[in-house]
Amino acid sequence: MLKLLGCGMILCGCVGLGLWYRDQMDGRIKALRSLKNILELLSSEVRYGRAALPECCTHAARYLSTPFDEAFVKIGRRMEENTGAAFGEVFREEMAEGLASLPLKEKDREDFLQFTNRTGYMDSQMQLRALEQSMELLKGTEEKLSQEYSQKCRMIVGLGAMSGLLLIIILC
Amino acid sequence: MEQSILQLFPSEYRMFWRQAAREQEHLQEIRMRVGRPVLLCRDGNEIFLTEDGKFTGSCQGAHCASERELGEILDHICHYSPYAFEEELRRGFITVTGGHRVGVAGQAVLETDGTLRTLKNISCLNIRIAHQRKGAADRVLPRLYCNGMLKSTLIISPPGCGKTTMLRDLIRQISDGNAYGRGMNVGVVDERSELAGSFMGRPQNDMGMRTDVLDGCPKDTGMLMLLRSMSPQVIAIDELGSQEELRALRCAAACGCRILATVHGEDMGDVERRFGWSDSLWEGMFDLLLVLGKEKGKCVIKQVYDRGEAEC
Repeated sequence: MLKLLGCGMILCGCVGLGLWYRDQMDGRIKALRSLKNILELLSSEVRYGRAALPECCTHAARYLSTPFDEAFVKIGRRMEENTGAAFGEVFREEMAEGLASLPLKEKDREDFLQFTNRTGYMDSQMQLRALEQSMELLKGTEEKLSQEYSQKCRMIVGLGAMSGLLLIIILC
Repeated sequence: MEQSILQLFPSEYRMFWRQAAREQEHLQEIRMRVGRPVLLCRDGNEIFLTEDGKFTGSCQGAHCASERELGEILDHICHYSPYAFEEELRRGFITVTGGHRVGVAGQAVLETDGTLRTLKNISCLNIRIAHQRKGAADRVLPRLYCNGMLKSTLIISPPGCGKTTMLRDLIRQISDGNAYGRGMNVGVVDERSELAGSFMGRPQNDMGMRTDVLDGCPKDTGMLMLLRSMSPQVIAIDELGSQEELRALRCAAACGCRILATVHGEDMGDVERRFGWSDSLWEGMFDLLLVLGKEKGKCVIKQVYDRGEAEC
């Protein structure tokens, strides 16, 4: 009876691990989409409002959900206080917490923050291009992950179950 | 007060500018040119800054601005978004928090039709420090009223005699109300952001509680816009310069608005020649003309033409 209970627990654990991994993958895709949306919002503010980047953040905060809405309000406020810090520096600092809470890879975070190294353009088209390049990088990763998602999901959950069975066989 | 010019600089340059910022009250201008010593105008005299930000009278060992430094300062002034200040850069200056004006010069980028698109490779910055002098119009204010009614007034003055400073203070006192008359709704068309020193549309100078400022708008268009949208009792403009502006001003006067305006000129004859005015024309539009000038280096009111003096 105890053996059966142990086998059941091992199987459940391994399947659970597979499901957790699938959720992580699903979460990463969703997070990439929300980062892409943030960049789209900023692009719209630049394109139609010709607003400065800190002002874009303050406006965009109204359309964002937690934790990014608060971060964007803080970016706008800190830039308005004018402590002398550069926009890129403030943006990275304030977004760090929100980005860390998402199931993202370091590369995704860097792709998102890439535009902060490319500010100071005289032409709004150039600034838009910098935002679009960050967006394209995120879009590329998201599309690749989405394509792999359905295949990988089944495989991951299956692998979890199989590895559980393997463990049971070895232990028994 | 010290903070407001320090805020023009990114954090890494603030230590360098700290001493200059302490003297903000005495500073009129900061001129920065790539590869040239940084020049400050303090109480009318030129001074330089040493490498550690201290004042020096000699250009030997003075701090020279680098291209990177100028770029970073301009980026900071533009909130790291110069594209958002495209129009201002085209005009050649940006008004910043505190009402200071940052003039820029560099390489012009032209459109195919030859019009100016923007500036690039900015190599010169000229920071003009704003000083609002409250009370600058105290001496003339009683002359502007007749039985509690405001007279339409034209201030004639050569450059540097304080006509803008006087107009700014008149606007504030007329808007808030004073010992001679009640507060009035004042519409200001501030084409070059000199009167209100607006930054992002917000006046940085105290323009009074009943003042509406239309910033960066051509004066002739702006006056008509204000007439339609804000129904001002008084319309104020600085540096009347074209026949179109004069026409808009006459239109405002015909609508019953009182007029406050300034114009470049040495005297009344100078203005009449420039605009081709007849006596009846200006008499119909203005009740009071003030001619400013300099005597022994001091700004003074040289002449006063008061059309309704006998009635008051």
